[in-house]
Amino acid sequence: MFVQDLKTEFYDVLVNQRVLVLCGADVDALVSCKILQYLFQCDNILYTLVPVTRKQDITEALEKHGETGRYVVLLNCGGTFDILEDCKPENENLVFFIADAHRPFNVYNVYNNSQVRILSPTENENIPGFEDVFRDDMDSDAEEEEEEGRDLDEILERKRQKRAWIENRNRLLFDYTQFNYFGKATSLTMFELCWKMSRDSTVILWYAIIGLSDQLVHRRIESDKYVTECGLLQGHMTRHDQLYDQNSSESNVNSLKLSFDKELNLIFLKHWTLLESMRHTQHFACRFKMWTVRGQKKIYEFLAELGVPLSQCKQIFASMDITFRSSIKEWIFKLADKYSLDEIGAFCFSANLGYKHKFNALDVATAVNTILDQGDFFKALDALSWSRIEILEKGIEASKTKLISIFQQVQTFLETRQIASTGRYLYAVLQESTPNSKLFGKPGALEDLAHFLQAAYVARKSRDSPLFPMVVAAPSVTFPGYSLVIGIPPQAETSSRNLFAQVFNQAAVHCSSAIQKDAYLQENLILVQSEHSRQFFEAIYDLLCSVDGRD
Amino acid sequence: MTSLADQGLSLVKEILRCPDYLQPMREDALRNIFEEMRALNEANQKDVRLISAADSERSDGAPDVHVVLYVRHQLLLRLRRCIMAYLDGRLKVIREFRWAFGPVLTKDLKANMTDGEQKWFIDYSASLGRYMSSIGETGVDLLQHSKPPKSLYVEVRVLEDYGDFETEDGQVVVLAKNSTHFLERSQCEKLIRQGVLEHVVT
Repeated sequence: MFVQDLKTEFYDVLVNQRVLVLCGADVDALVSCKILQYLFQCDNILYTLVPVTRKQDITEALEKHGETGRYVVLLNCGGTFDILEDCKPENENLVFFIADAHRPFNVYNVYNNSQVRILSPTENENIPGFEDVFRDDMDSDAEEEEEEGRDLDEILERKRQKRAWIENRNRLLFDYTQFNYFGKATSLTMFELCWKMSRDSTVILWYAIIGLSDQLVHRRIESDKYVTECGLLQGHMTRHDQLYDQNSSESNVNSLKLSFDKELNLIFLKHWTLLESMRHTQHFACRFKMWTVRGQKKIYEFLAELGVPLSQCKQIFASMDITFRSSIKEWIFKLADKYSLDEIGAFCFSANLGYKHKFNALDVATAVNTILDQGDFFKALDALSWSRIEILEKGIEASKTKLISIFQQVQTFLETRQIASTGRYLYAVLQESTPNSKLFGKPGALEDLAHFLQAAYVARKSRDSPLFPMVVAAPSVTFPGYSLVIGIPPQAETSSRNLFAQVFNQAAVHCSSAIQKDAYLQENLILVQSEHSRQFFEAIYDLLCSVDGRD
Repeated sequence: MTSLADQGLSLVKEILRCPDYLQPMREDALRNIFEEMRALNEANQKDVRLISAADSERSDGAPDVHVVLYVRHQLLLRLRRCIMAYLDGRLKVIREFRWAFGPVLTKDLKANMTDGEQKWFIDYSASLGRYMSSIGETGVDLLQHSKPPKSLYVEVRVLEDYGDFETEDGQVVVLAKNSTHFLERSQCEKLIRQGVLEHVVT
């Protein structure tokens, strides 16, 4: 059941109740959790917060904490599978509020009116109608005996109808669940709740911004939608500024200030050197093919034309000469056309705290994601509060190390030509002996690597490779003996639609003994026993062929 | 060259340097100071005898001896003050122990206390306890609310599995590792001190 009015049907219900919050492992979920925690603390709503990374965690959390309260809030988890059937809560009075950016929603969640309430808004998602999916006699096969006395034709007719209905149901469900994609960021939904109750503040707005930025960083949002949402948030930002101006005569330096502008889309530019930042930004590196000797020369040429001395480019950005630092943005934008750097400019938010700390929302999303990927949920949660900036800064350093490894890995893959194209999809397998294989055995790093590899491959052979999805496998860190496999949509695909959840599911049927499906909540991830991975890749190939054939 | 009574000063400096940690008692320094004091005292006694002997012979005593006598006396007073300040400083630290760690101290806390100080601690505990039980009808635990709380509830993170925890309103909260709870401050303060919970400051 979808909740129409967040305040009356969700928040007001929770007041004076004990709430269990289950938070999925992505940055959007983290910031939503922060916003919700803030609200709960305002109203003295007692809660228990448990991080979850897989279905089993949800089941265990419900077992442990299920008795203490009546209400469960799920953030970025639980929407895409039948929560009641898969997690089997013992307490039958539990009510689940699901705020999940993952799509499609499971139909059982959508049509459960008593225990499941979905907070996320729907935007033309073509959810199959109730009559098309549910029917009274759906799972009763033993009805023949009752109908012995009836006319044979009648029975046959009914059976035929039922068969047609089932066929139709399967087709509808197949179409509905074929692609996994992402909807509106949960943090934006939570922010909406906040400001409708007039409880929003600049810090809360910043959280919503990070949630949105996270979606952009992970390509979970189309760029036009991002711009629309940014516009809305910018409106809120202006409103806060005006409120702030009215309330205090002297401006306080130590308060949080947000700004919105077209910035250079170079990763960690403010915390790194210009050259390093360029080298490790995906679109920039791929445009210049930085992994080749020619690419290196070309980037120096670019810098020369820009008019920035090399010694300055190798300086930490913050200590660069002020004349270069202030005008570098303009200069690069001027040259963007000549070098066809069409992704160099990006609209994004930045936050200022005092004189020292300035953060770009995209950088923060990346850094927090890195901390999260290290498996430390609460550290990542702390990194988001302004009093614990040192954790965030550590996260930025860790992200840099990760980016350097990714770049080296991409270079190795390209030099040794280990990215293979099957004609339907691209794939690359990271061997266990590779120096950094440990680093890539985690979902976040593997996803970043996959995107970089795909972009690099496309930059090299651009004929029809933009249309191919990509699969990357690396030995898993947490599950020895298994390979972690990730599937990402083709580069040419602008939306977040990803068909690998279904493909992996079906391929798993072919070689079921070697698969672990439920190790992560992201459905485009799967664990395959390393020795069976070849078989698994063949199964994917067959499936992708048959999908194309159907079209 | 060392100036007079500098050891006394160094003791005071030491107690000022770390006001919340109990150093081992500087017994050798104390012994040196006592030695110094005895030497000063004996020298004074000797001079006093000299002067009083001289007084009986002549009416005007040697003025320089008087000055020396005066300086020695001030030195003695100063040394006494330093030692008192040192001992008092130590007791202050020990009193903080009572408020921070409760009436029973662990071995490592006791390690640097002298016997006398341990006895003082027990006496202090006893009189504090008597005072607290004398307030009102049932007594008030002063230790629990040493600062006014900012909010009724606090966010706490569970560091080790603790199991079921029954709150005052009868609800049961499961404190399992790696979960965060929003609980009433007064109820979880003890667990925070025990290290089961961590207070999350935002």
